[in-house]
Amino acid sequence: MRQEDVDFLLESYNLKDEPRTGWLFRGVKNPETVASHVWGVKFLCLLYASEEGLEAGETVRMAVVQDLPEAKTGDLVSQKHDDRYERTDEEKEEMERLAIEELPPEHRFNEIIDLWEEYQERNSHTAKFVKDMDMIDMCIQALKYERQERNSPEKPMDEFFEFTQPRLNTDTGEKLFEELKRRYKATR
Amino acid sequence: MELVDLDRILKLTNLKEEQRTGWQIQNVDRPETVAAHSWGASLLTLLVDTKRSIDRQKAVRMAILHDIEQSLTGDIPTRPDTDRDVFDRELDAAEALLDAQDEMLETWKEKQRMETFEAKFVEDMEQLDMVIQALRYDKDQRYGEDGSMDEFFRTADQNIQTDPGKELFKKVRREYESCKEE
Repeated sequence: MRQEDVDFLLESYNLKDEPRTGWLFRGVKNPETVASHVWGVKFLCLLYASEEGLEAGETVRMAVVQDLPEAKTGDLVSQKHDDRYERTDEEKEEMERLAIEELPPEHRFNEIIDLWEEYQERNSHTAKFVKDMDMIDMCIQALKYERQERNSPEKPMDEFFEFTQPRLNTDTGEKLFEELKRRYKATR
Repeated sequence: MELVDLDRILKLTNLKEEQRTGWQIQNVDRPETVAAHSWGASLLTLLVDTKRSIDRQKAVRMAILHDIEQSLTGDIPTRPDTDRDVFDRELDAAEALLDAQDEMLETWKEKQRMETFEAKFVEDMEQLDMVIQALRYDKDQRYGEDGSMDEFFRTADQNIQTDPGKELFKKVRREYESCKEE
């Protein structure tokens, strides 16, 4: 690591302060940060990779990089000016691609770019699994906030479950989701 | 681990809300959580060049798992190597959270024993995560007027053992010192 890599790290570490905007919009005060969320995703990858016949370390490395571009771009949903404006997936990916290409040109960082691209393409089993764990972590957190009554009463968490259900791609993701949804309904 | 063992997972993810005690003591405004610290340690474990062979995947697993016992015990501000009692409580917690036959418990224990290069390297990356965070809080002036981030650098200076850890530590400390002079 070189001295300028310290700058890269300092910038990446903004993720420790970047709140997940989905929770802010539901009125959750001091919601989890992007870094905490990514830790949750990695932890789920460790727990469940073997259920899918995947190598845990491989899935975890991909999970580490998934949200790195947000250190530069911010949690992109937060840049909406009002609720009528949605950034398209293409715009989001383009901004994130620009951000990741600015990583320091070193061997270890090249590996990160490759992993990030594999994740974006979502063709490999590993990428599909990591994406499922990303959404499962979100549903776990939605269930917890609902139980703790930390969201505004008029803003239930239903849409996180509605968003996730049609997008899951692995058996493990679906099994976890069913159980989470059952508990969420019981809480409501 | 049972595929759907959600009660345990709901407990473990409390780490997302457990604030790091070291920052609380210095009255840091909105301090990071244990989960965010583990994220940082695992990012460094993935990135930092060791210049010797390492089982990087095992090391990253260690970095993600290393503080899970705190979802039961909370963040106890003592050094495990000087306090057997804390060490035992942490072991009990880890055993309650992870299956005995599970490889993850073995990985967690290997980190605690601090004998392998992977364990020492991950410990160094944790220390580095701490000083990088201290540097950020210093740059942003996010702690009380009487507070100081010096002690975190002293602690890391004493604890860091591996060459790659020492090399990066020097760079972070240089940045910290140049900020303080300004």
